[in-house]
Amino acid sequence: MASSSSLRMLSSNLKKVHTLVSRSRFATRSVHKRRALLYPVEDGVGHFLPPEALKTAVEWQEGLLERLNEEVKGTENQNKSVTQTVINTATARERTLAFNYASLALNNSFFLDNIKPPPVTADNHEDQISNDLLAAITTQHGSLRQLKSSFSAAGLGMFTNGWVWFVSDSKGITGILPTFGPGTLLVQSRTYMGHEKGLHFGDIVPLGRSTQASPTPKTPLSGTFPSSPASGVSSPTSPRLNDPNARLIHSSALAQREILTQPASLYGATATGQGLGTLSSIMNVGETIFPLFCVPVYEHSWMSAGYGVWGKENWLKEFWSVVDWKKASDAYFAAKRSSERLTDGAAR
Amino acid sequence: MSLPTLRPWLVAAKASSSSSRTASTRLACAARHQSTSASTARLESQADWEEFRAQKSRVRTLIDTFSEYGSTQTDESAFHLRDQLHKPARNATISALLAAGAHFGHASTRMNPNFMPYAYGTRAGITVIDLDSTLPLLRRAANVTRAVARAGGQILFIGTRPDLKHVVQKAAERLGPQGYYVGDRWLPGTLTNKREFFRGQNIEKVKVNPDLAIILNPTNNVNAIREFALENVPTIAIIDSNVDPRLVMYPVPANDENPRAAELIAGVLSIAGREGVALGQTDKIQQAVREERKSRQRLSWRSS
Repeated sequence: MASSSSLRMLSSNLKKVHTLVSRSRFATRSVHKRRALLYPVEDGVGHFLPPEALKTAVEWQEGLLERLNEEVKGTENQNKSVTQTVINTATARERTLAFNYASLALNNSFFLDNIKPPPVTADNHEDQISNDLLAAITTQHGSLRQLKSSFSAAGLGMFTNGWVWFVSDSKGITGILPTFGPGTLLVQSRTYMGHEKGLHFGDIVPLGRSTQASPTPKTPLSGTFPSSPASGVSSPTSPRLNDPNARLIHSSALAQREILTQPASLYGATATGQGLGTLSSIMNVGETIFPLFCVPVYEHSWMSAGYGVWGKENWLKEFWSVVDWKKASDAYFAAKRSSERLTDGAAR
Repeated sequence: MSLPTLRPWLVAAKASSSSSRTASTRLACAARHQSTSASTARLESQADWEEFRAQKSRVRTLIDTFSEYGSTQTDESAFHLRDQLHKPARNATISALLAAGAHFGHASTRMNPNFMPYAYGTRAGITVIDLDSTLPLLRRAANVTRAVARAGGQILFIGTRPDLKHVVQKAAERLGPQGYYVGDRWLPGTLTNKREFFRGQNIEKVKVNPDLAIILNPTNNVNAIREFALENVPTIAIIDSNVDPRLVMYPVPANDENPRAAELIAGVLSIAGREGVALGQTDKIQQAVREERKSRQRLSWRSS
């Protein structure tokens, strides 16, 4: 009988008509939900994100995911993870809203999972920095203190909302990278990174030409950084002029000229092969950049923390007490090993 | 990940024409045209290939780094239609059987009287199968499969329709060396005429009879079922309402026409079989450990 055979085959054809059938309670698709934090929400995260501020961050995350769910409902991205959504929607102009929400949700999730409430015994987690990472920071930025001051400078220099990242590339060169708005490190044409003037990168190998040294702050920032036993430096050393080991790559005429003469290559590796640790190897957007930790530069973050609308500077100082250096060290280790992961010829 | 080149003919024309441009304008031009000359270069040497692999590896690491964050929806938690075949559920539920349409029987006029205990009623001229009896019978069949696999038995899956071929193939693969399948026609006489079929081999040494047979479309394979009965092989089959359940030892009353129901049932049985295989291996290991201990004890008694 036609009706009985059609009934028997009905369920296998059901997928073709599911859009017409109203959704039942137990047939809903999985949606984006906020990941649980690695620490209790009620206690906040030290002085950096007191309970009110953490609640605001969590509320923002939930709102972003809710709006992302609305945006991707019924599209091909509705069952994909946030990372995959960012990659898929990056090139589509008409899906910019989904990209923006997904990128901000990803960045915020990364931020919240790479901080930890400060331990009871100490002020911060700096005893967990691996030797590798500490050596890299010392070589490339001078000391942990100088890194902190550069990082704060990058954050203070941003006059729109965005994120400041501490990044590494696959060769182990670290740097500070500000990104604006919904910029993401996953898709290089959509990173919206701060351009030369706000960019501070380390330079391991002096190239034998004089890069003009920019002045680092001669006086330490008003005694707020706790002296970490690892750094052993009480005050930043003032660099000499024409110091080949300059920590801050400033917008000197030489650097600018160098940037402009690089061959335009959005996705290819540098062709000049200048060796490790050159400005061009980082600035050339072909290089893969791995995040170690980040901080949001949004007014709602420090206002909800009680620092007031102009409290960015003090709030960024508090950030160092909650950075999870163990995770940053592990991420740095993974970044350095990243080029070797597919040597067995496995198809991925 | 590279963007498609916009207006490639223009890029080529510009590249070939000679023009006196400064470095900065050349840079700006290339950025506008999204020309990626470095990435479209062909791989020529081993070093190129290795650099390509290294770059792929780096990008993969970056994506994996970010994949841990975002939301609770990951690839594992998301619904995929392909999972019905490739990642079936371990346990069947009434709602899953209902969704798969396993409760639709054949026309009521064709209902076999011996099927009455498993029928729920009639609707739209077809027999509705009682899933409250199907589920425990399916669990019993799963227990049998697990026990046979644990004892080292060889299990044969038969599904001789085009839509069932991949189901039985996947099911047999889950059991490793103990799983076998017949996706095309069952050759009559495979068991009853084995001397003819396996002529080149020493029939006393070769094991032809399976230890358990699971048939997904028994109405098309009555020859096979008859041979199993003659050779005393236990059988499990999906029994529809027009079939006598006494045909096989462990009937599973369900819809035999629907591939989704077959995927569900074969999935449950093959996962039970896979568990049985794993349990059998741990049993062997424990047995070996016990034997070793006993022999050491015997040696120590003898020496003392």
